[in-house]
Amino acid sequence: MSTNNVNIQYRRGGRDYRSRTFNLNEIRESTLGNLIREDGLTTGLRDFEVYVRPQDSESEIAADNLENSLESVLRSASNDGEISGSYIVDVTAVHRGA
Amino acid sequence: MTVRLVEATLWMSPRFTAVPEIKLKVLKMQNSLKSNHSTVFREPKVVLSESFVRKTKFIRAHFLSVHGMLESVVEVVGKIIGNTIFCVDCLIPEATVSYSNFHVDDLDLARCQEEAEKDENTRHLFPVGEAHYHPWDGKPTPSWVDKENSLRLANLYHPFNIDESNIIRVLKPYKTSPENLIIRYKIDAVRKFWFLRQEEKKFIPQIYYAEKIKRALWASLIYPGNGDSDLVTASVVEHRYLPDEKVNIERHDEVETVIFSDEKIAELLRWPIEKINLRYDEEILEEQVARKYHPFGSFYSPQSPDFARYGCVNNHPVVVWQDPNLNYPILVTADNDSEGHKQGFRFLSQHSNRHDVAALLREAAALIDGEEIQGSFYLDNTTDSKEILTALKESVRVLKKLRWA
Repeated sequence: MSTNNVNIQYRRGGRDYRSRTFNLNEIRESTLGNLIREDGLTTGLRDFEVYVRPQDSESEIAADNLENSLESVLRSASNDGEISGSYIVDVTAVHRGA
Repeated sequence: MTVRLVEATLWMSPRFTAVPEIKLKVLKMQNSLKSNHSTVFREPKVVLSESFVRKTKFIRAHFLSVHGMLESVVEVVGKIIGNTIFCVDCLIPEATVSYSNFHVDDLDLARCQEEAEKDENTRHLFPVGEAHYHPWDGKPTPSWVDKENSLRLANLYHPFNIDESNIIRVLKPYKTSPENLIIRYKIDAVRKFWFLRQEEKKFIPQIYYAEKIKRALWASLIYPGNGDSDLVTASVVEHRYLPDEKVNIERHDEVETVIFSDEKIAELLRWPIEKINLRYDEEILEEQVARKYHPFGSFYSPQSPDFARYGCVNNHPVVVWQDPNLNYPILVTADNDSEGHKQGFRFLSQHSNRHDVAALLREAAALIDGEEIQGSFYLDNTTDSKEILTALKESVRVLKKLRWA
Protein backbone atom coordinates (compact mmCIF):
# COMPACT_ATOMS: atom_id res chain seq x y z
CA MET A 1 0.00 0.00 0.00
CA SER A 2 1.61 3.20 -1.13
CA THR A 3 -0.20 5.68 1.12
CA ASN A 4 -1.76 5.75 4.55
CA ASN A 5 -4.82 7.81 3.69
CA VAL A 6 -7.33 7.16 0.98
CA ASN A 7 -10.11 9.52 -0.01
CA ILE A 8 -13.39 8.03 -1.07
CA GLN A 9 -15.98 10.03 -2.92
CA TYR A 10 -19.44 8.55 -2.43
CA ARG A 11 -22.03 8.84 -5.14
CA ARG A 12 -25.70 7.98 -5.37
CA GLY A 13 -26.91 7.26 -8.85
CA GLY A 14 -23.89 8.97 -10.42
CA ARG A 15 -24.22 12.19 -8.41
CA ASP A 16 -21.63 13.29 -5.87
CA TYR A 17 -23.02 12.63 -2.41
CA ARG A 18 -20.29 13.09 0.20
CA SER A 19 -16.65 12.17 0.70
CA ARG A 20 -14.66 10.58 3.47
CA THR A 21 -11.02 9.88 4.23
CA PHE A 22 -9.86 6.53 5.59
CA ASN A 23 -6.62 5.54 7.22
CA LEU A 24 -4.82 2.27 6.78
CA ASN A 25 -6.48 0.50 9.68
CA GLU A 26 -9.98 1.53 8.68
CA ILE A 27 -9.40 0.25 5.17
CA ARG A 28 -8.28 -3.11 6.49
CA GLU A 29 -10.92 -3.49 9.17
CA SER A 30 -14.03 -2.23 7.39
CA THR A 31 -16.13 -4.21 5.00
CA LEU A 32 -17.61 -2.37 2.06
CA GLY A 33 -21.12 -3.32 3.15
CA ASN A 34 -20.71 -1.90 6.66
CA LEU A 35 -19.17 1.22 5.29
CA ILE A 36 -21.86 2.15 2.82
CA ARG A 37 -24.59 1.35 5.32
CA GLU A 38 -22.97 3.44 8.08
CA ASP A 39 -22.53 6.38 5.76
CA GLY A 40 -26.14 6.29 4.60
CA LEU A 41 -25.44 5.39 1.00
CA THR A 42 -28.04 2.66 0.92
CA THR A 43 -30.71 4.47 2.93
CA GLY A 44 -34.09 3.81 1.37
CA LEU A 45 -32.71 1.43 -1.23
CA ARG A 46 -33.84 -2.16 -1.35
CA ASP A 47 -32.21 -3.25 -4.62
CA PHE A 48 -28.98 -1.60 -5.60
CA GLU A 49 -25.57 -2.16 -7.15
CA VAL A 50 -22.25 -0.79 -5.94
CA TYR A 51 -19.54 0.25 -8.38
CA VAL A 52 -15.98 1.14 -7.41
CA ARG A 53 -13.21 2.78 -9.41
CA PRO A 54 -10.14 4.95 -8.94
CA GLN A 55 -11.03 8.59 -9.52
CA ASP A 56 -8.65 8.92 -12.45
CA SER A 57 -9.83 5.78 -14.20
CA GLU A 58 -12.85 5.00 -16.34
CA SER A 59 -12.89 1.29 -15.63
CA GLU A 60 -15.22 0.28 -12.82
CA ILE A 61 -15.80 -2.93 -10.97
CA ALA A 62 -19.16 -4.07 -9.67
CA ALA A 63 -18.69 -4.88 -5.99
CA ASP A 64 -20.75 -8.05 -5.83
CA ASN A 65 -19.75 -9.19 -2.37
CA LEU A 66 -20.34 -6.46 0.16
CA GLU A 67 -18.77 -8.56 2.92
CA ASN A 68 -15.33 -8.17 1.36
CA SER A 69 -12.93 -5.86 3.17
CA LEU A 70 -12.56 -2.36 1.79
CA GLU A 71 -8.91 -3.15 1.20
CA SER A 72 -9.62 -6.05 -1.12
CA VAL A 73 -12.31 -4.10 -3.00
CA LEU A 74 -10.05 -1.11 -3.59
CA ARG A 75 -7.21 -3.39 -4.61
CA SER A 76 -9.43 -5.09 -7.17
CA ALA A 77 -10.58 -1.74 -8.51
CA SER A 78 -7.02 -0.44 -8.90
CA ASN A 79 -5.42 -0.97 -12.25
CA ASP A 80 -2.11 -2.05 -10.74
CA GLY A 81 -3.39 -3.60 -7.51
CA GLU A 82 -1.94 -0.77 -5.44
CA ILE A 83 -4.19 1.30 -3.21
CA SER A 84 -3.50 5.01 -3.56
CA GLY A 85 -5.20 8.34 -4.18
CA SER A 86 -8.94 8.76 -4.46
CA TYR A 87 -11.71 6.34 -5.29
CA ILE A 88 -15.31 6.64 -6.25
CA VAL A 89 -17.92 4.37 -4.69
CA ASP A 90 -21.24 4.70 -6.48
CA VAL A 91 -24.44 3.15 -5.18
CA THR A 92 -27.18 3.09 -7.75
CA ALA A 93 -30.37 1.33 -8.71
CA VAL A 94 -31.78 0.01 -11.93
CA HIS A 95 -34.41 2.05 -13.78
CA ARG A 96 -37.14 0.18 -15.58
CA GLY A 97 -40.70 0.73 -16.57
CA ALA A 98 -43.67 -0.73 -18.38
CA MET B 1 -25.53 29.24 36.32
CA THR B 2 -27.51 31.98 34.64
CA VAL B 3 -25.08 32.13 31.76
CA ARG B 4 -25.35 28.41 31.25
CA LEU B 5 -29.12 28.66 31.04
CA VAL B 6 -28.99 31.43 28.46
CA GLU B 7 -26.63 29.36 26.35
CA ALA B 8 -28.88 26.38 26.62
CA THR B 9 -31.89 28.40 25.52
CA LEU B 10 -30.11 29.79 22.50
CA TRP B 11 -28.83 26.42 21.51
CA MET B 12 -32.23 24.85 21.81
CA SER B 13 -34.11 27.49 19.86
CA PRO B 14 -33.60 26.01 16.38
CA ARG B 15 -35.17 22.80 17.55
CA PHE B 16 -38.21 24.58 18.86
CA THR B 17 -38.90 26.08 15.46
CA ALA B 18 -39.42 22.57 14.15
CA VAL B 19 -42.15 21.81 16.69
CA PRO B 20 -45.54 21.99 15.01
CA GLU B 21 -47.56 25.01 15.97
CA ILE B 22 -51.29 24.52 16.06
CA LYS B 23 -53.77 27.37 15.98
CA LEU B 24 -57.41 26.72 16.62
CA LYS B 25 -59.91 28.99 15.11
CA VAL B 26 -63.66 28.62 14.70
CA LEU B 27 -64.44 30.06 11.30
CA LYS B 28 -68.13 29.49 10.98
CA MET B 29 -70.95 27.26 12.09
CA GLN B 30 -70.84 24.02 10.18
CA ASN B 31 -73.20 21.10 10.33
CA SER B 32 -71.46 18.66 8.10
CA LEU B 33 -68.01 17.25 7.55
CA LYS B 34 -68.53 17.71 3.81
CA SER B 35 -68.18 21.47 4.00
CA ASN B 36 -65.60 23.10 1.78
CA HIS B 37 -62.25 23.63 3.42
CA SER B 38 -59.87 26.01 1.79
CA THR B 39 -56.35 24.66 1.87
CA VAL B 40 -53.37 26.94 2.10
CA PHE B 41 -51.08 23.95 1.68
CA ARG B 42 -50.98 22.87 -1.91
CA GLU B 43 -50.38 19.44 -3.36
CA PRO B 44 -47.19 18.92 -5.37
CA LYS B 45 -47.24 20.40 -8.83
CA VAL B 46 -45.12 19.63 -11.88
CA VAL B 47 -44.04 22.50 -14.09
CA LEU B 48 -42.54 21.81 -17.51
CA SER B 49 -40.58 24.50 -19.29
CA GLU B 50 -41.36 25.17 -22.94
CA SER B 51 -37.80 24.23 -23.80
CA PHE B 52 -38.16 20.92 -21.97
CA VAL B 53 -41.37 20.13 -23.87
CA ARG B 54 -39.76 21.02 -27.18
CA LYS B 55 -36.64 18.95 -26.54
CA THR B 56 -38.51 15.87 -25.29
CA LYS B 57 -40.87 16.07 -28.27
CA PHE B 58 -37.93 16.20 -30.64
CA ILE B 59 -36.28 13.20 -28.97
CA ARG B 60 -39.48 11.17 -29.04
CA ALA B 61 -40.24 12.02 -32.68
CA HIS B 62 -36.77 11.02 -33.73
CA PHE B 63 -36.95 7.87 -31.63
CA LEU B 64 -40.16 6.85 -33.42
CA SER B 65 -38.59 7.39 -36.80
CA VAL B 66 -35.51 5.35 -35.90
CA HIS B 67 -36.77 2.62 -33.59
CA GLY B 68 -40.51 2.53 -34.24
CA MET B 69 -43.39 2.45 -31.79
CA LEU B 70 -41.57 1.20 -28.71
CA GLU B 71 -41.25 2.56 -25.20
CA SER B 72 -38.56 5.15 -24.61
CA VAL B 73 -37.26 6.87 -21.52
CA VAL B 74 -35.49 10.08 -20.49
CA GLU B 75 -34.17 11.19 -17.11
CA VAL B 76 -35.47 14.56 -15.96
CA VAL B 77 -33.35 17.19 -14.26
CA GLY B 78 -34.40 20.51 -12.81
CA LYS B 79 -35.08 22.16 -9.49
CA ILE B 80 -37.55 21.79 -6.65
CA ILE B 81 -38.90 24.76 -4.74
CA GLY B 82 -41.61 24.24 -2.15
CA ASN B 83 -44.37 22.13 -3.69
CA THR B 84 -43.25 22.60 -7.25
CA ILE B 85 -41.03 20.39 -9.36
CA PHE B 86 -39.53 22.37 -12.21
CA CYS B 87 -38.55 20.11 -15.12
CA VAL B 88 -35.90 22.02 -17.04
CA ASP B 89 -33.88 19.53 -19.05
CA CYS B 90 -33.74 15.85 -19.91
CA LEU B 91 -30.95 13.31 -20.28
CA ILE B 92 -30.81 10.33 -22.58
CA PRO B 93 -29.59 7.19 -20.82
CA GLU B 94 -28.31 4.01 -22.43
CA ALA B 95 -31.46 1.92 -22.38
CA THR B 96 -32.84 -1.33 -23.66
CA VAL B 97 -36.23 -0.53 -25.11
CA SER B 98 -38.91 -2.83 -26.36
CA TYR B 99 -42.61 -2.96 -26.81
CA SER B 100 -44.26 -2.04 -23.51
CA ASN B 101 -41.16 -1.98 -21.34
CA PHE B 102 -37.65 -0.57 -20.98
CA HIS B 103 -34.61 -1.15 -18.83
CA VAL B 104 -31.74 1.12 -17.80
CA ASP B 105 -28.89 -0.66 -16.03
CA ASP B 106 -27.59 0.65 -12.71
CA LEU B 107 -24.29 1.61 -14.24
CA ASP B 108 -25.85 3.32 -17.25
CA LEU B 109 -28.19 5.31 -15.04
CA ALA B 110 -25.22 6.42 -12.93
CA ARG B 111 -23.17 7.32 -16.01
CA CYS B 112 -25.99 9.37 -17.44
CA GLN B 113 -26.25 11.47 -14.26
CA GLU B 114 -22.48 11.65 -13.92
CA GLU B 115 -22.20 13.15 -17.39
CA ALA B 116 -24.82 15.72 -16.46
CA GLU B 117 -22.97 16.62 -13.29
CA LYS B 118 -19.73 17.15 -15.19
CA ASP B 119 -21.32 19.17 -17.98
CA GLU B 120 -21.27 22.92 -17.37
CA ASN B 121 -24.70 23.32 -18.96
CA THR B 122 -26.41 20.85 -16.65
CA ARG B 123 -24.30 20.97 -13.49
CA HIS B 124 -26.74 23.27 -11.70
CA LEU B 125 -29.64 20.89 -12.31
CA PHE B 126 -30.55 18.04 -9.98
CA PRO B 127 -32.31 14.81 -10.76
CA VAL B 128 -36.00 15.53 -10.18
CA GLY B 129 -37.78 12.77 -12.05
CA GLU B 130 -38.07 10.48 -15.00
CA ALA B 131 -40.29 10.36 -18.04
CA HIS B 132 -41.21 7.55 -20.34
CA TYR B 133 -43.43 7.04 -23.33
CA HIS B 134 -45.96 4.27 -23.68
CA PRO B 135 -46.13 2.75 -27.14
CA TRP B 136 -49.77 3.63 -27.76
CA ASP B 137 -51.79 6.80 -27.74
CA GLY B 138 -54.33 7.98 -25.21
CA LYS B 139 -53.84 9.09 -21.63
CA PRO B 140 -51.48 6.62 -19.97
CA THR B 141 -51.84 5.07 -16.55
CA PRO B 142 -48.89 3.86 -14.46
CA SER B 143 -48.40 0.11 -14.20
CA TRP B 144 -47.23 -1.56 -10.98
CA VAL B 145 -43.74 -1.70 -12.51
CA ASP B 146 -43.89 2.06 -13.05
CA LYS B 147 -44.98 2.63 -9.47
CA GLU B 148 -42.25 0.45 -8.05
CA ASN B 149 -39.74 2.15 -10.28
CA SER B 150 -40.81 5.63 -9.17
CA LEU B 151 -40.27 4.64 -5.59
CA ARG B 152 -36.87 3.10 -6.32
CA LEU B 153 -35.60 6.19 -8.13
CA ALA B 154 -37.15 8.59 -5.62
CA ASN B 155 -35.31 6.70 -2.87
CA LEU B 156 -32.08 6.81 -4.83
CA TYR B 157 -32.14 10.55 -5.47
CA HIS B 158 -34.01 12.03 -2.52
CA PRO B 159 -30.85 13.29 -0.77
CA PHE B 160 -30.34 15.75 -3.65
CA ASN B 161 -33.83 17.17 -3.60
CA ILE B 162 -34.38 18.04 0.02
CA ASP B 163 -36.06 21.38 0.32
CA GLU B 164 -37.27 23.24 3.40
CA SER B 165 -40.45 25.23 3.35
CA ASN B 166 -43.07 26.61 5.70
CA ILE B 167 -46.56 25.33 5.22
CA ILE B 168 -49.85 26.40 6.69
CA ARG B 169 -52.94 24.44 5.91
CA VAL B 170 -56.44 23.91 7.08
CA LEU B 171 -56.86 20.39 8.34
CA LYS B 172 -59.90 18.54 7.19
CA PRO B 173 -61.77 16.45 9.77
CA TYR B 174 -61.97 12.94 8.44
CA LYS B 175 -63.99 11.20 11.11
CA THR B 176 -66.25 12.01 14.02
CA SER B 177 -67.81 9.99 16.77
CA PRO B 178 -71.56 9.38 16.45
CA GLU B 179 -72.23 11.97 19.13
CA ASN B 180 -69.99 14.41 17.34
CA LEU B 181 -67.92 14.86 20.48
CA ILE B 182 -64.68 13.54 19.05
CA ILE B 183 -63.38 14.84 15.74
CA ARG B 184 -60.27 13.37 14.17
CA TYR B 185 -57.85 15.39 12.11
CA LYS B 186 -55.12 14.00 9.93
CA ILE B 187 -51.81 15.78 9.38
CA ASP B 188 -50.34 13.08 7.18
CA ALA B 189 -50.21 9.29 6.89
CA VAL B 190 -48.60 8.83 10.30
CA ARG B 191 -49.71 11.87 12.29
CA LYS B 192 -53.23 12.61 13.41
CA PHE B 193 -54.95 13.96 16.45
CA TRP B 194 -58.36 13.97 18.08
CA PHE B 195 -60.33 17.02 19.08
CA LEU B 196 -62.46 16.42 22.15
CA ARG B 197 -65.43 18.57 23.04
CA GLN B 198 -67.21 18.83 26.34
CA GLU B 199 -70.67 18.85 24.82
CA GLU B 200 -72.25 18.51 21.43
CA LYS B 201 -72.16 21.63 19.34
CA LYS B 202 -73.40 22.22 15.85
CA PHE B 203 -70.15 23.50 14.43
CA ILE B 204 -66.88 21.81 13.69
CA PRO B 205 -63.75 23.83 14.42
CA GLN B 206 -61.48 24.51 11.51
CA ILE B 207 -57.88 23.94 12.42
CA TYR B 208 -54.94 25.76 10.98
CA TYR B 209 -51.78 23.73 11.04
CA ALA B 210 -48.40 25.36 10.57
CA GLU B 211 -45.14 23.49 10.20
CA LYS B 212 -41.68 23.89 8.80
CA ILE B 213 -41.19 20.84 6.68
CA LYS B 214 -38.19 19.26 5.05
CA ARG B 215 -38.95 17.10 2.10
CA ALA B 216 -37.88 15.79 -1.28
CA LEU B 217 -40.10 15.32 -4.30
CA TRP B 218 -39.71 13.04 -7.30
CA ALA B 219 -41.80 13.29 -10.48
CA SER B 220 -42.73 10.38 -12.70
CA LEU B 221 -44.13 11.45 -16.05
CA ILE B 222 -45.76 9.07 -18.50
CA TYR B 223 -46.47 10.27 -22.01
CA PRO B 224 -48.60 8.67 -24.72
CA GLY B 225 -46.76 7.28 -27.74
CA ASN B 226 -47.03 10.51 -29.74
CA GLY B 227 -45.43 12.54 -26.91
CA ASP B 228 -48.46 14.79 -26.45
CA SER B 229 -47.74 16.93 -23.39
CA ASP B 230 -51.44 17.63 -22.86
CA LEU B 231 -52.01 13.96 -22.07
CA VAL B 232 -49.06 13.45 -19.75
CA THR B 233 -49.79 11.59 -16.52
CA ALA B 234 -47.75 12.76 -13.56
CA SER B 235 -47.30 11.20 -10.16
CA VAL B 236 -45.04 12.38 -7.38
CA VAL B 237 -43.26 10.47 -4.64
CA GLU B 238 -42.72 12.61 -1.57
CA HIS B 239 -40.14 11.97 1.16
CA ARG B 240 -41.20 14.05 4.11
CA TYR B 241 -38.89 14.36 7.09
CA LEU B 242 -40.78 14.47 10.35
CA PRO B 243 -39.46 16.56 13.27
CA ASP B 244 -37.78 13.52 14.79
CA GLU B 245 -35.97 12.90 11.44
CA LYS B 246 -38.06 9.89 10.52
CA VAL B 247 -39.07 9.83 6.89
CA ASN B 248 -42.63 9.48 5.73
CA ILE B 249 -42.99 8.42 2.09
CA GLU B 250 -46.16 9.32 0.28
CA ARG B 251 -47.25 8.89 -3.31
CA HIS B 252 -49.44 11.47 -5.08
CA ASP B 253 -51.26 10.39 -8.22
CA GLU B 254 -52.83 12.54 -10.94
CA VAL B 255 -50.62 15.48 -10.06
CA GLU B 256 -51.34 18.75 -11.83
CA THR B 257 -48.91 19.39 -14.68
CA VAL B 258 -48.54 22.76 -16.36
CA ILE B 259 -46.28 24.22 -19.03
CA PHE B 260 -44.68 27.59 -18.30
CA SER B 261 -42.72 29.80 -20.64
CA ASP B 262 -38.96 29.79 -20.21
CA GLU B 263 -39.09 33.43 -19.12
CA LYS B 264 -41.58 32.71 -16.35
CA ILE B 265 -39.54 29.79 -15.04
CA ALA B 266 -36.37 31.88 -15.12
CA GLU B 267 -38.21 34.49 -13.03
CA LEU B 268 -39.54 31.91 -10.55
CA LEU B 269 -36.19 30.16 -10.15
CA ARG B 270 -34.26 33.44 -10.26
CA TRP B 271 -31.94 32.00 -12.85
CA PRO B 272 -30.72 33.71 -16.00
CA ILE B 273 -32.85 32.82 -19.01
CA GLU B 274 -29.86 31.11 -20.67
CA LYS B 275 -30.07 28.35 -18.07
CA ILE B 276 -33.70 27.61 -18.94
CA ASN B 277 -33.79 28.24 -22.66
CA LEU B 278 -32.16 25.05 -23.89
CA ARG B 279 -29.93 25.23 -26.89
CA TYR B 280 -29.26 21.79 -28.19
CA ASP B 281 -27.71 20.48 -31.32
CA GLU B 282 -30.32 18.40 -33.11
CA GLU B 283 -27.67 16.32 -34.85
CA ILE B 284 -26.08 15.39 -31.53
CA LEU B 285 -29.48 14.41 -30.12
CA GLU B 286 -30.23 12.33 -33.20
CA GLU B 287 -26.91 10.57 -32.84
CA GLN B 288 -27.61 9.88 -29.15
CA VAL B 289 -31.07 8.51 -29.92
CA ALA B 290 -29.63 6.15 -32.50
CA ARG B 291 -26.70 5.11 -30.30
CA LYS B 292 -28.08 4.93 -26.78
CA TYR B 293 -31.41 3.18 -27.25
CA HIS B 294 -31.10 -0.52 -27.95
CA PRO B 295 -34.28 -2.11 -29.28
CA PHE B 296 -35.14 -5.50 -27.90
CA GLY B 297 -37.99 -6.75 -29.95
CA SER B 298 -38.86 -4.60 -32.88
CA PHE B 299 -41.46 -2.74 -34.80
CA TYR B 300 -42.95 -3.99 -37.99
CA SER B 301 -44.59 -1.63 -40.39
CA PRO B 302 -46.37 -3.00 -43.47
CA GLN B 303 -45.43 0.23 -45.22
CA SER B 304 -41.76 -0.47 -44.75
CA PRO B 305 -40.16 -2.40 -47.62
CA ASP B 306 -37.70 -4.10 -45.29
CA PHE B 307 -40.37 -5.09 -42.83
CA ALA B 308 -38.62 -8.26 -41.74
CA ARG B 309 -37.38 -6.65 -38.56
CA TYR B 310 -38.04 -8.68 -35.55
CA GLY B 311 -36.88 -9.33 -32.05
CA CYS B 312 -37.47 -11.53 -29.04
CA VAL B 313 -39.56 -11.23 -25.93
CA ASN B 314 -38.94 -13.89 -23.33
CA ASN B 315 -37.02 -15.89 -25.94
CA HIS B 316 -39.97 -15.92 -28.31
CA PRO B 317 -39.62 -14.33 -31.73
CA VAL B 318 -41.97 -11.41 -32.00
CA VAL B 319 -43.23 -9.37 -34.88
CA VAL B 320 -44.91 -6.10 -34.12
CA TRP B 321 -47.38 -4.73 -36.59
CA GLN B 322 -48.57 -1.17 -36.51
CA ASP B 323 -51.12 0.20 -38.89
CA PRO B 324 -51.33 3.99 -39.14
CA ASN B 325 -55.13 3.70 -39.13
CA LEU B 326 -55.10 1.96 -35.77
CA ASN B 327 -53.69 3.60 -32.71
CA TYR B 328 -52.48 0.37 -31.20
CA PRO B 329 -49.82 -2.08 -32.26
CA ILE B 330 -50.40 -5.81 -32.52
CA LEU B 331 -47.78 -8.31 -31.48
CA VAL B 332 -47.59 -11.74 -32.96
CA THR B 333 -45.42 -14.36 -31.36
CA ALA B 334 -44.86 -18.08 -31.76
CA ASP B 335 -45.70 -20.38 -28.89
CA ASN B 336 -43.56 -23.45 -28.39
CA ASP B 337 -43.66 -26.19 -25.82
CA SER B 338 -40.66 -26.95 -23.63
CA GLU B 339 -39.11 -29.13 -26.35
CA GLY B 340 -39.41 -26.43 -28.94
CA HIS B 341 -42.30 -27.98 -30.82
CA LYS B 342 -44.67 -25.62 -32.45
CA GLN B 343 -47.89 -25.12 -30.57
CA GLY B 344 -49.35 -22.14 -32.35
CA PHE B 345 -49.28 -18.41 -32.27
CA ARG B 346 -50.13 -15.89 -29.67
CA PHE B 347 -51.43 -12.44 -30.37
CA LEU B 348 -51.05 -9.58 -28.02
CA SER B 349 -52.66 -6.22 -28.22
CA GLN B 350 -53.05 -3.31 -25.87
CA HIS B 351 -56.22 -2.07 -27.48
CA SER B 352 -59.33 -1.91 -25.34
CA ASN B 353 -61.00 -4.37 -27.74
CA ARG B 354 -57.99 -6.61 -27.59
CA HIS B 355 -60.08 -9.68 -26.84
CA ASP B 356 -62.00 -9.21 -30.07
CA VAL B 357 -58.83 -8.57 -32.02
CA ALA B 358 -57.06 -11.50 -30.44
CA ALA B 359 -59.99 -13.81 -31.13
CA LEU B 360 -60.08 -12.74 -34.74
CA LEU B 361 -56.37 -13.19 -35.16
CA ARG B 362 -56.39 -16.54 -33.41
CA GLU B 363 -59.08 -17.80 -35.72
CA ALA B 364 -57.28 -16.47 -38.76
CA ALA B 365 -54.01 -17.97 -37.60
CA ALA B 366 -55.53 -21.41 -37.31
CA LEU B 367 -56.57 -21.16 -40.92
CA ILE B 368 -53.37 -19.68 -42.22
CA ASP B 369 -51.24 -22.13 -40.30
CA GLY B 370 -52.91 -24.90 -42.26
CA GLU B 371 -52.18 -22.82 -45.34
CA GLU B 372 -55.75 -23.24 -46.51
CA ILE B 373 -58.62 -20.88 -46.03
CA GLN B 374 -61.55 -22.89 -44.73
CA GLY B 375 -64.98 -22.16 -46.15
CA SER B 376 -66.52 -21.79 -42.74
CA PHE B 377 -64.25 -18.93 -41.82
CA TYR B 378 -66.08 -15.69 -41.58
CA LEU B 379 -64.42 -12.33 -41.69
CA ASP B 380 -66.45 -9.16 -41.73
CA ASN B 381 -65.89 -6.61 -44.43
CA THR B 382 -64.51 -3.77 -42.39
CA THR B 383 -61.22 -2.33 -43.51
CA ASP B 384 -59.64 -2.99 -40.16
CA SER B 385 -60.33 -6.69 -40.29
CA LYS B 386 -58.92 -7.02 -43.78
CA GLU B 387 -55.82 -5.15 -42.83
CA ILE B 388 -55.42 -7.20 -39.70
CA LEU B 389 -55.65 -10.36 -41.75
CA THR B 390 -53.11 -9.09 -44.27
CA ALA B 391 -50.73 -8.11 -41.52
CA LEU B 392 -51.27 -11.41 -39.82
CA LYS B 393 -50.36 -13.35 -42.94
CA GLU B 394 -47.16 -11.39 -43.26
CA SER B 395 -46.39 -11.78 -39.59
CA VAL B 396 -46.95 -15.51 -39.63
CA ARG B 397 -44.80 -15.83 -42.71
CA VAL B 398 -41.96 -14.05 -40.93
CA LEU B 399 -42.43 -16.17 -37.85
CA LYS B 400 -42.36 -19.37 -39.83
CA LYS B 401 -39.13 -18.32 -41.47
CA LEU B 402 -37.66 -17.47 -38.10
CA ARG B 403 -38.70 -20.52 -36.19
CA TRP B 404 -39.12 -23.39 -38.54
CA ALA B 405 -37.07 -22.55 -41.59
